[in-house]
Parts: sequence; C-alpha cells; structure tokens
Amino acid sequence: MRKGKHVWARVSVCALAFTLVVRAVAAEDEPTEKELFRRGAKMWSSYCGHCHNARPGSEFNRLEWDTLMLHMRVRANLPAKDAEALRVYLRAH
Amino acid sequence: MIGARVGRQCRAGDYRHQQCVRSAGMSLVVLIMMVVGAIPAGAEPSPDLRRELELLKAQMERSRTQMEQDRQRIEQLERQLQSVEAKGEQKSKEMEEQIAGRLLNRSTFGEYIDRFAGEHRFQLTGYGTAAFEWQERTNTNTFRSSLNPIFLYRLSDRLLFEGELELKLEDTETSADIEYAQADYLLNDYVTLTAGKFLLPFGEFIERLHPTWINKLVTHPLPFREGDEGGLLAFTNVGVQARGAVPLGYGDGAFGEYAVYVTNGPRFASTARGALMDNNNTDQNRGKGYGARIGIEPLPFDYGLGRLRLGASAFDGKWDENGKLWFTAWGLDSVYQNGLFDLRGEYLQLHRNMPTGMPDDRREGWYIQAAYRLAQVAIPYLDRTELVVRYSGQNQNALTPADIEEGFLRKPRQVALGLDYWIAPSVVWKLEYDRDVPSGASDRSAIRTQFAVGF
Repeated sequence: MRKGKHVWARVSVCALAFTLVVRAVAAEDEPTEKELFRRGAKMWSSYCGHCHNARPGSEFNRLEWDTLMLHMRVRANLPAKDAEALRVYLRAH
Repeated sequence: MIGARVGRQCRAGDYRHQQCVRSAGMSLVVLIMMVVGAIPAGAEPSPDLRRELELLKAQMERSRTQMEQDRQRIEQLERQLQSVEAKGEQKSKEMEEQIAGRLLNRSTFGEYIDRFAGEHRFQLTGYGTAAFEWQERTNTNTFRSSLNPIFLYRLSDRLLFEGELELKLEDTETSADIEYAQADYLLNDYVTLTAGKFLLPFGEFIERLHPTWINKLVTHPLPFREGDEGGLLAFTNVGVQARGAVPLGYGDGAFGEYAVYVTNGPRFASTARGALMDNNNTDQNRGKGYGARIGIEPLPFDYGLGRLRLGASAFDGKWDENGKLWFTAWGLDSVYQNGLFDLRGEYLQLHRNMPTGMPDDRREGWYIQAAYRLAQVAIPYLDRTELVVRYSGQNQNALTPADIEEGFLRKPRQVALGLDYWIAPSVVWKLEYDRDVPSGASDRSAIRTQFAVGF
C-alpha cells in the first residue's frame, strides 16, 4: 500500500511538472499583437479574396470587425489562429 | 594585337578580372614564345624587336594596374551595396514597427467607448440587387430587385447568432424567406458547433458563392439554381453541425477543413420522378439526413503557386414519408486562384430510390467557371473590369409533366459570358449573356444585367 502511494505521488509530481512546462512553453509561443498584425497583413488578400474581393479594413470599425470576423471564421471555416491574425489586422484600421 | 584586345577588355572594367589576368598572361607567354622562336639561337634581338617587347611590357603593366584599380573599385561598390541593403532593411523594419504601433495603440477614449458599448455587438450587414432580364426561352423581359439583410449578434468571443432574410419581388407579391438562422458556438480552435437552419455544406457555391455581390455572374450555375428554378439541391436544411479547420503544419495558409451535420433530411416537392428538391423545415419522417464535407488547401502562401482548394461532399437520408427510400448525393469541388486569374468548378451526382416498380431517379450536374481581372491594364475603367465565362449543365432521367410544361429540359447546357465592373470591392455592375446549348433542341439566348451591393 505504501509502495502504491509513493508511485502515485511520483506520477502526480511528474504530471504537475509536465503541465507547468507545457503551459510555460505555450505562453512563450503566444504571438504578440504586432506579430498577429503582421501575419494578418500577409494573409489578408489571399484568405479574404478566396470567395469575394478582399474588403479593406477601413470599411468597418473595430467593433464591427470583431463581429464580422467571427461570422467569417464560421462561414469560410478559417483556421483559428489565422482568423485571429486577420481580426487584429483589420480592426486596427 | 592580342595584347591590345585583352588590354581593352580589362580596362573596360570587366568584372571577370581574374579571367582577364589569365588571358593576358597566356597572351604574353604566346607572344614571348613567338618572339623567342623568331630569334635564332645565339642571336641578339634586333632593336625594333626590343622596342616592341618594351612596349608590350609597358602595356601589360598598365593593364595590370588598371585591373587592380577595377578590383578595388568593385570591392568598394560591393561594400557600399551591402551597407545600403542593410540600411534599407533596417528602415523597412522601423517603418513596419511604427505603422503597427500607431495602428494598434488605442486611445483612452476609445477604450472607454468599448467598455460603455459592452461585450454584446449587433451588426446589420447583407446585400441587395437591382436587375434587368431578357430571356428568350421563357419570353421574359422584366426588371427585378431583391434585398437580403443579414443579422449578426455576437454575444461573446465564442457565441454568435446569425440569420439572413431573403426578400424577393415575384409577380405581384413580395416573398420573404429565412435563408438561414443559426447559432454558432466556438468550442475550441478546431471545432465550431452550429444549430438551426443553415446553408448546406455541400460544395462551395451554396455556402460561399451564391450572394449576388460574390457570384461573378447574374445567374447561378444550372445545378445550383434555387427553389423552383430547376436546380438539383435544396440550399438549406435544419439541424446541427460541427465544423472547423486544422492547419497542416508545414506553412501558413495550408490547412484542412471539415463539416459534419445531421438534419431533417432530404425532401421533394412530390413523390413523382423528377420532382424538384424542397426545403424540409419540419421533418416528415423519422429518418434524418447525414452529411459531411472535407476540404484541403495544400499550398502555403510562401510557395508562391497561388491558392488551391479541393473538396468532397456527401449528403444522404430517407426522403419518403414512410422513411424507407434512400436519397444519396455526393460531389467534388475545386478552386484555383493565382493573381488575377480564378478557376473553379464543381460536380455532383444524386440518386433517389423510388417505390417498387419505378426506375430510380438519377441526376448529375456540373459547372466550370474562369474569371480574369484586367487590373493590370493601364486604361481607366478597364482596370476595374473582370471577364467571366462559365459552362454548366445537368442531366436527369426524368422530369414531371409540370416541369416539362414550364420549359425545363432533361439535359440543359448553358454557356454564360460575363463582364463585371467593380465600383468597389463589394459593389459591382454585371452584364451577362447566356446561350442555352441543350442537346437536341434549338439554342436560346438571354441577356441579363445586375447591380449588386454588399454592405
């Protein structure tokens, strides 16, 4: 029984350490707003021009782009991170 | 002579100075050998020969000096070029930082307004059209108009309600229909859940290309005509779906997408062979419809090969009231875009089991469309023009007597030529000429023009 408790303790510590490491790495990998802006600028004409003409950021205000990009992410089935980069780029205008 | 030619080449600042030196050296050796060969053994060179040799040596020396100067000049220019390139890159990065910083900085007043407005956001968007149509086959000569408002309500970053109304003028009335009304919940980065009435995720045209300001032609491809116009599939169904996209991991822009759904299922205007497909807002049998679409965009942006999307779709369900007879449909779709050129096409096949004693109802349809934007033509107005051509057709082994009387054909074919003038990215004037080219019938023409606004 004691041996079993030791094993579980070790497993728990390892799991906790692993989680902390993964979270730390994930936090390091989170792009900054400027990086998202640059990515969005690069992808805008290709993604947004796939079905219709790409509409410039100046057509809508910041709040409208938040809503529109949610709609477009669903409609066009955009990858989540790319949709976020496009949102940051378009709402900045 | 040889020495003079080589000297001229090297003096001209030729970058291949090593080759110049080599050929000059070789020339000198040859010359010396010729001179030495000409001098009999033990004989003194004549004064003329000596003078010529001295002249050649001096010329050689001058060429060598010139080449050395050229080499130093080239090295200096290369260093300057590297410096200019480094400065240019640095400047470009600084400007990028400035622009990004200025655009992303939010004023305190702006933040206050954001908080005051709250997290919920309502937005009205949509599209409207005004059109004129002259059609030989149906003896039509009329103006038309329609309005499709789209309501978007964002409850949070994960929850969206959206709906589209379709308001159309028909004869003496205005028809109103719910094109779609759905709730979308973003479960995570890869899964979005949708419930309600939604556009069928079958191919590309139904879900993404049919709005009038997006469709590059006035008409729909033959298999995708809406409602009772003779198309093959109902545009919408009521149910639930899960959809999403997954990056492929080897470059930005390369991803796969999917949609799987369960709905009320397929429904037809009647049980007759050849009957048109209808909306199924209230399920008439215990069976449901099951469908899926997968797509892939394999080319990352950085490859510089354009954009390619390939997709495959399926939709099956029991269509009769007793829930015993199957309807199956499958389709393929593809889009390729590169710069100003756009090529897309779809193919679909449908099969409806009929009651015992009746042959099955089989249908297929397709279209292929190419478009080219004349943006690089340096002529005013022409640079906003886009040329479009589409060939579409469908085959069905049966039509109802009413449809035959309406003028529908079992095997219609159509060539459509279009000219679009883009006033703005979402505002377009379109002109279309259609030529019906059905097998075994006389050709019929139609001219259509449409002004469409996406707002």
